[in-house]
Amino acid sequence: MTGYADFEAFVVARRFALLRTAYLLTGNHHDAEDLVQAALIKVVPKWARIKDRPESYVRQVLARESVNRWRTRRWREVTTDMVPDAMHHDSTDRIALLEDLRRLPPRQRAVLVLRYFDDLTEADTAAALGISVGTVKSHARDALATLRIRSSDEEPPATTRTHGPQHAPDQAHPARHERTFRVTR
Amino acid sequence: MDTLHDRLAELADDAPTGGAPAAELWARGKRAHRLRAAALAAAVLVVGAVGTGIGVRLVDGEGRGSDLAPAKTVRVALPIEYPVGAELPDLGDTPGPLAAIWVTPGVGGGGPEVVGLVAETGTFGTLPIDVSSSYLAADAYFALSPDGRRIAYDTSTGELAARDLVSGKSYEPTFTFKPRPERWYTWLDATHLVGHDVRGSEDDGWVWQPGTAPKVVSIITYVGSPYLGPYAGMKPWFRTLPEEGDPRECLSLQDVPGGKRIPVLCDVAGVIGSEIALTHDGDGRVVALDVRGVEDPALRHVVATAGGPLRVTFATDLIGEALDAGGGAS
Repeated sequence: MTGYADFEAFVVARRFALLRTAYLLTGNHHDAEDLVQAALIKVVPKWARIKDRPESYVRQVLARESVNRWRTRRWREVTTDMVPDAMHHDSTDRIALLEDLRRLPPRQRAVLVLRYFDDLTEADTAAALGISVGTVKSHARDALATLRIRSSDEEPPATTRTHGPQHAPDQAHPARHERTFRVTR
Repeated sequence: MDTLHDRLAELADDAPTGGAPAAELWARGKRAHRLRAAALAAAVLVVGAVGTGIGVRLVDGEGRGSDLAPAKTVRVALPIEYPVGAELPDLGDTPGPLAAIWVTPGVGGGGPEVVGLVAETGTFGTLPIDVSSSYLAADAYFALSPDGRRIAYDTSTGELAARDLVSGKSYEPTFTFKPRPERWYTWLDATHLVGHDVRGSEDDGWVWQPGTAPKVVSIITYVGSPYLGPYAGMKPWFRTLPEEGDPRECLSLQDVPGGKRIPVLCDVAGVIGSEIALTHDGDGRVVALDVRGVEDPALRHVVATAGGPLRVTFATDLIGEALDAGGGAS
């Protein structure tokens, strides 16, 4: 089982970090676990070549897989009125951010996560997703603009909202009036 | 005022922590690679045949036959039809990988006999091993590795043992801790046997690679799957029918608190990957079904016909490969 020990050590050490990124990419626990597993399974045949520095390659597979999955209907989000199990203990702010992320087009979301959560450079983000630096810039700009619009409650008309019950903004997400963030890049 | 990074990091704190163990991912990665290689080889052969047919000729000495050949896989013929009432031959110590294995009462009320289905030849026969009489009371576990090559069982003296069905070599673990006799265990992949120690919390377990010393592990973290052994049905992925339950509820969806609906299975005879369960249907057949579409007949494939023993252990990788190749009745 050549290389298995290294693979196991990597999985044990890095799985949770990968799951954190995958959760932001998918917005769903089950899909996040499945995405990480799919990425790890995909890199097994190449492990001998990447075992010295596997992280960047695994993350590249993870990011591309997340975008590719969204191209098929199976992986598209499902309309639901339910608050995710893991969220009800906490703030509506997290729920709002999760919903906002879910509504972004998959590639914009991936750019946002890789740039502002994984802290990749524009060049590294472009390499991870197999797109140009210019596309990364435009996706990041559009994604941030969308989040800013939503965070200031300048939301699209209610007819475009496909998730959850329709509420007046301050009833549905009271924290949104206070939500604002700094992009520090 | 938080940065976007801070807010994303806070959201990521809700990320899940589970997933299949590294050993399973490694095995699945290897298997997928083998299947891709086989598919590529098949495609090359088809293209070669077509090329020849339209008059394309290669220069002598170049490309005369591809080195690529389908990876050697053991192809199990599905559905399995049990040899009810047949006289079975002795398979010897090295029958090769098995597709399925179970224990029956011996002829004339004798001790338990172990019956196996040789994956490559489709031959049913008995294995010359002495197993615990508790198998007849259906309260002992018989483990067959996903690739069908190794078994693990309780011996007639109540000890755990493993055997390699290709080399014929037997192994006995040297536990430096004391798992209880009524232990559960299963092969996580081709080489890792994992067990649950019921004395402590449900998280207490061990893992053993035959030829090495067993190690104590946190079983939930190590296994990472709710589908195995006593965990089946304990997590909200699906529920198994209690013994006194109505069989008509098998393969249906049940409402649970929280507004969810989860599948109800008769039992769990094995798992393939993270979504496919082997389970009996209401007619006594063993079916492979996608637990995400438990009520959809199109997502079921018959792995074994009715009339067989209730407790059979399957080589799940071999069954999965046979299903991938289009085996199994719908």
